[in-house]
Amino acid sequence: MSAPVETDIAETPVIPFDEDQFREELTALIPHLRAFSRSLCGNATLADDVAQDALLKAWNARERFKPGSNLKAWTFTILRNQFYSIKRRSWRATSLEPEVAEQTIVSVANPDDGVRLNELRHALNRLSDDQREAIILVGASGMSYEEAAEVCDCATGTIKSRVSRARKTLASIMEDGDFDTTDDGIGALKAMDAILDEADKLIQR
Amino acid sequence: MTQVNNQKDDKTPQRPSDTAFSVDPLSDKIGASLKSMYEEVVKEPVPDAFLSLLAKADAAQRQDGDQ
Repeated sequence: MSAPVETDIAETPVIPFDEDQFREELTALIPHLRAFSRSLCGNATLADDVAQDALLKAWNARERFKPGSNLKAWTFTILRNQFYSIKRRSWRATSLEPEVAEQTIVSVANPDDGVRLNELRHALNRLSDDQREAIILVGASGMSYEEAAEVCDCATGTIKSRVSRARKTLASIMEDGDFDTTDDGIGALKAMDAILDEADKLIQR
Repeated sequence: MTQVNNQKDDKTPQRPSDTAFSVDPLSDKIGASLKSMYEEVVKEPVPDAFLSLLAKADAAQRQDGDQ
C-alpha cells in the first residue's frame, strides 16, 4: 500500500490539465449555460449570444481553470460577467424593442405553464440584479448557496439573504397579480395587465 | 469555505432544494415555475452554433500551432 506512486499523488495536489476532458465537460455544460443565460436575459436570441460568448471565453481561458475545482461555477461566473458587461452597454436600447419583448414570451407545451412563466419573467424583471441572479442560481438552476456565492463573488450568507428577499418579493408580486387563482387565460391576462400597470406607476414615480 | 455554517439557526435551510420553497403554497408554485423555466431550456437540443464554436476555436488553435 505504500507504493511510490501514492506518495507522488499525495505530494502533487495539482491535477494535470487534460484538454480533452475539459472540452467534454464544457460541452456537457452548454445546456446549463443556455438556461442560466435565458433566465438572466429573458430574451432567447440575446441569451444564446451571451452564452456563446461565455463558452468561447471559457474555452480560451481553459488554462486558468484549476482542474478538480467546480467547472459549472467557473463557467457561470464567466457568463454572469459577460451578461452584465453587455447589459451595461446596451440593455436600455435592447429591452425597449417590441420584437424583443415578444420573444421573451416563453413557449411551452402547457399553455397554463406559459402564462405562469411569463408572469414569472415579468416579476423577475422587477427584482434587483443581485436578488434576480441569486434566486435564478439557487431556485431555478438548483445550485447550492455555496456555489451561487462563488459565482456571484460574495459570502454565502449574502446569497441566502438575497434568495430569501427575492422569494418574498416574487411572492408578493405574484399575489398582487392573482397568480394563484388564474386557471383561465383571461384571469392571467388581467393579472399581467395589473403587473404591467404597477410597473408603469413605479417608473412614473 | 468549509466553515460557512457555524452561524446555524433553525430558519436557515441546509439544503435549498428541500426547504427554500416550502414556506407556503404560493412559494412552492414560484419555486416550481423557476425550476421549469430553467429546465425547459436545459432540455432543448443544443444549437449547432454552440458545438461548432468549440470545433472552430480548436481548429484555429491547431493551425496556429502548426505555423
